[in-house]
Amino acid sequence: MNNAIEINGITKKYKDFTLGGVQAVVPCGFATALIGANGAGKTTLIDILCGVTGKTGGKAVYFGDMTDTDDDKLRNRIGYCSSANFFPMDWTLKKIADSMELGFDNFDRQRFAELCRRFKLGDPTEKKQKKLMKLSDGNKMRTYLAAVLARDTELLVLDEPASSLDPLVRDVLCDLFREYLSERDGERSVLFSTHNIADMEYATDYAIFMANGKVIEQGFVEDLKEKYILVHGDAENADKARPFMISFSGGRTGFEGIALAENAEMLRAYDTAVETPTLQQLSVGILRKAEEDEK
Amino acid sequence: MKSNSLTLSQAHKIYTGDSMGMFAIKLSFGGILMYSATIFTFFIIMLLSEGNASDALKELSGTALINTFLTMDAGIVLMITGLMQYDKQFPGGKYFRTVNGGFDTYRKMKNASLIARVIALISIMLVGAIFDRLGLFKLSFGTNDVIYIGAFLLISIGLVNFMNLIKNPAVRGLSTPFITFAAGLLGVILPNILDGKIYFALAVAVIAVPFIVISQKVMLSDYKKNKWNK
Repeated sequence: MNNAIEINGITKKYKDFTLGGVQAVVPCGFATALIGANGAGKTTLIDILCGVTGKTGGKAVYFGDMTDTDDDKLRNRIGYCSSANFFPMDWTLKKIADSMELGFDNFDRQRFAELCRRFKLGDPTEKKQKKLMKLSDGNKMRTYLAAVLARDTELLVLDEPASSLDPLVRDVLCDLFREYLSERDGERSVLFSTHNIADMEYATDYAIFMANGKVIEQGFVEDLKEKYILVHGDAENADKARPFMISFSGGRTGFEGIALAENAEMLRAYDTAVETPTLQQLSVGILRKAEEDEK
Repeated sequence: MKSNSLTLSQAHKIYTGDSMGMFAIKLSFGGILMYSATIFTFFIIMLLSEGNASDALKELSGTALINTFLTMDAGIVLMITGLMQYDKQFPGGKYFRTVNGGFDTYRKMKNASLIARVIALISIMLVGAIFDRLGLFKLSFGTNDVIYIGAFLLISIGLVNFMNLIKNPAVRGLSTPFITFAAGLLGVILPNILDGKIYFALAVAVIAVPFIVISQKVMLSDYKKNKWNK
């Protein structure tokens, strides 16, 4: 099994938005980041993949041969959580544990307690507990993560897990992804959407870029960093370099942007500096290009 | 826990954190408390105007006021719980769609909630009957009134199910109290017209059972089609 999920032409039509024919893979054994601007269709795609939203067309194949998100066997292999109001706001840690123990075959109450301690959320067995509505956004997200990680799953699907976390906990989240993947080397996978690309780069092996309901680029981060280059140079060479670049931003003193690596020699001839882009720089370049194409 | 082995009570606990029994107790307790608080408040008002407790009790007892309180308080409890929504955009909505059994667990939870509401209705009516028997707050036609009110509130449970079919939340929220109380108040008015004869109330109660079952099925199938996976 090479892919945790193979997405074949999934579509979803709303009145004002269409997720159109998504073709993508989530490779098995790696952490995949779903990157895109607000409204690109990331949450819709994640919800469809986890059986939260129905699709209009297309198919997703999970773990090589499973396709039915209503099948409990598949439900139990996927650990899903969204960023906002994942549980009712009047619930406590104890109520979450009670519900999840009944709702899934593989929820481990002891592991949940350990994760709650690790995230400094308190003890789920204590009598007096805070309701979710009394917690900060960051602590709510920590609670959701503790709950989903307390299940013995093979695929974690997390919608914006880092958005409300402080930088320190984002770092812990990256470590958790690594731990989760290494516990059963090659058998587990993570799919998460994020806007905090710089903070999550350490945890990202594979990236899927989305814009306007479509996948515009995907691949292993290392491969993408070979496919694309970061170019910057002086303003006087901007006009000459621009036709060879896929994204461009310039001022009075200089310019910067992303180009295909195959154009590196050509660009060097215009006295530009060529570097390996970070995932953040790559994302900005690819998404900016998609935005310009849409105009 | 495998979905096919989930009981109604367990499905209810997944959604609310409370078992069906605990939910029924909470609802019953809430309804009884509301009814007691209402009649106590009016008793105090009467006490202040009449000057002594026995005159205040006499003034309240045997009037349609007590029947109306019983109907309204039980009706409010049934209406609020009957309109509870677990849509995707509400807290917990996405989580509930990923638990074992999916929609089947939702159906079990809704059926458990229905049973808990009927238990709560019976409990509140029993307290109304006990107050009447003890001579504390007499109903116009005694226990027969309780059966009338209970029977028509059973009908209102089915009506609330049908009100869930209304897509616009504002229209649904505003129209449901009118429908619920209109049905419930028939249970207050009809005993006076029918001289408290119990046969009509029993017939309504018998009709209410298939009516509730059908309304529950219609409501669940509409929810699955129009909301569950949309």
